[in-house]
Amino acid sequence: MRLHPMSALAILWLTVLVLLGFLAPWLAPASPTAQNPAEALLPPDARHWLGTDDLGRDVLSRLIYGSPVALAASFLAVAVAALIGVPPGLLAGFAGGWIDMLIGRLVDAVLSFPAIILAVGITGALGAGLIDGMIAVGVVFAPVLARLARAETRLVRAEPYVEAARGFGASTFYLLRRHILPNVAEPLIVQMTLLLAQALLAEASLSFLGLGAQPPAPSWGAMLARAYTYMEIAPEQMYAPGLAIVFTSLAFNRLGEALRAALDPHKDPSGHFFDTDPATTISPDRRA
Amino acid sequence: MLPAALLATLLVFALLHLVPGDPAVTLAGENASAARISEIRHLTGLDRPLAVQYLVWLNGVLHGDLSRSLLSGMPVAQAIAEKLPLSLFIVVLAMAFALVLGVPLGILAATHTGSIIDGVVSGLAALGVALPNFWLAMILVALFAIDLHWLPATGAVPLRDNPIQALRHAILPAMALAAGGMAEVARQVRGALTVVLRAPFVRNLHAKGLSGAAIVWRHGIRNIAALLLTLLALLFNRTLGATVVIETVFAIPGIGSTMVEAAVGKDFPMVQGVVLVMALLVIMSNLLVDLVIGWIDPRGRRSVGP
Repeated sequence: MRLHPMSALAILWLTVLVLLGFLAPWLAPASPTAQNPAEALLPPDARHWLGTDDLGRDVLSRLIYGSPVALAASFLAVAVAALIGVPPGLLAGFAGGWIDMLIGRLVDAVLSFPAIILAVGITGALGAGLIDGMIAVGVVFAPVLARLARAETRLVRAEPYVEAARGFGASTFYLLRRHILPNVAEPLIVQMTLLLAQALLAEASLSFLGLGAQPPAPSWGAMLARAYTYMEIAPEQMYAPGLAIVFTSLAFNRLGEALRAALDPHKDPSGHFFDTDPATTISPDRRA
Repeated sequence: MLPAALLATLLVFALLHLVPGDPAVTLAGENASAARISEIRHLTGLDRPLAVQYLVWLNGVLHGDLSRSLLSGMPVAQAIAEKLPLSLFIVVLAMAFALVLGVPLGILAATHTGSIIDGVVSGLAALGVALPNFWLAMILVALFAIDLHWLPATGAVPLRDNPIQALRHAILPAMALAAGGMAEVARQVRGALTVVLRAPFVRNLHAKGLSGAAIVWRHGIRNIAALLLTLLALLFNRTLGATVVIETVFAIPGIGSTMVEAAVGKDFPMVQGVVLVMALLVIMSNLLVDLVIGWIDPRGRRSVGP
């Protein structure tokens, strides 16, 4: 299989971010939280490549230390979404009947809330903070995975190997774990990769609003909030964290598309970004 | 519609009970006395069974009573009714931007699949969904408000008071809101139209001698009309949600920024009220779209559900 150059670039960027996370203490020129009021809001120069923020902290160091925060937050939210969303989705697709109806209704109800609104509401209830915020985002994303898991399960539940295992007396739990889950895992993994991008944007938004990462933690979204406050004095502050967010979310999306192409080459021969995304494409069962 | 709305109320009701600890303490505030807390517990019915609490609360909601804000003491329903028009104005404007740009881009890409144009539209769409909307908002403010002084950076003017000023204040927020929606619209239109244009009847139309433009506008668009309408509902959901961040950036006193203030200030009745109103608006928009689709598209007539 040939790797699209953009996909290679995306993988490279994500690898660099992971490395930055581990090597931050050695790579960052300064501590991300060391304040120096005498050097506040400096423009970029030889000592501070990206300048300093309103408390005199080195922006480049905060950017580097922000990378593991962004990655960990995105993974946490998607893990929560998978944990809450996938099992009910599998069950709904496998069992059908009233269980399917009940779970389907609940999924539809959660999806009728604008995602970020529900995340802000839940964060408001749980209390501001990065971990609670990302759990909230995970809860909000769960129905997307539940819906996909349900649809994929319906496709494989009547396969002969499932029937055979059932004939041997396998329990529903065993069937779901050993036969259904491995066979619906691929589209779920693709969708989870795409959700990472949305989780990252949600983290940035929540932190920007003051509901996510709390000071002095270096989060790209929180850095943008400070940059916004001082925009008229130091407009250059807002470019680096914003670009970091854009590149990372582009990279997650690209990785998702590359995985989709690798795992299912038949879907859409033309497709780059435009491949149908089950989370957002209007599904036929909306009509049913 | 009705079951969805009922489930939505149940979820919103559950929000308050997500709060770790005693909801009465939460409602009374952190420094309230024990007497005040038990008074609140009794007043709000928190000493009654959950099911009763829900029904009492639901009864209030059905009568337009969303209780009072803990911060301002104002009835939540009144606060929302005052702030909603400002939010809806920028949402509608943003949806208009998203459609006016997104649909033609999607059509262009679909009629030129595999070409440079397709690639550029694809790139734009990918960028549109990857861009944090509040960052785009900051860039727009830096450019159009601070550098060029063309448009105001913050605030809002009610449409009723001064339509021209209202529009000037709404343009930047609407542009920031529209980017993600535009990308989504372009991508969905491109996807659906590509399928339609590959259909056998389109080959027939070509054979009949119809021009490419006529095929797209007379037959293509008609075939994706239902999708466009469904997209409209999706766009509404997405844009309405994004007001939370965008209104905060532009200091617009709409329901989005109110929601953030309430979440930060632990004003739960207000949070519940805004979440509920937004969910009901989305459910209503879905219903409306389903009805219109059933009306214009006979194939979807079964879809007008309970």
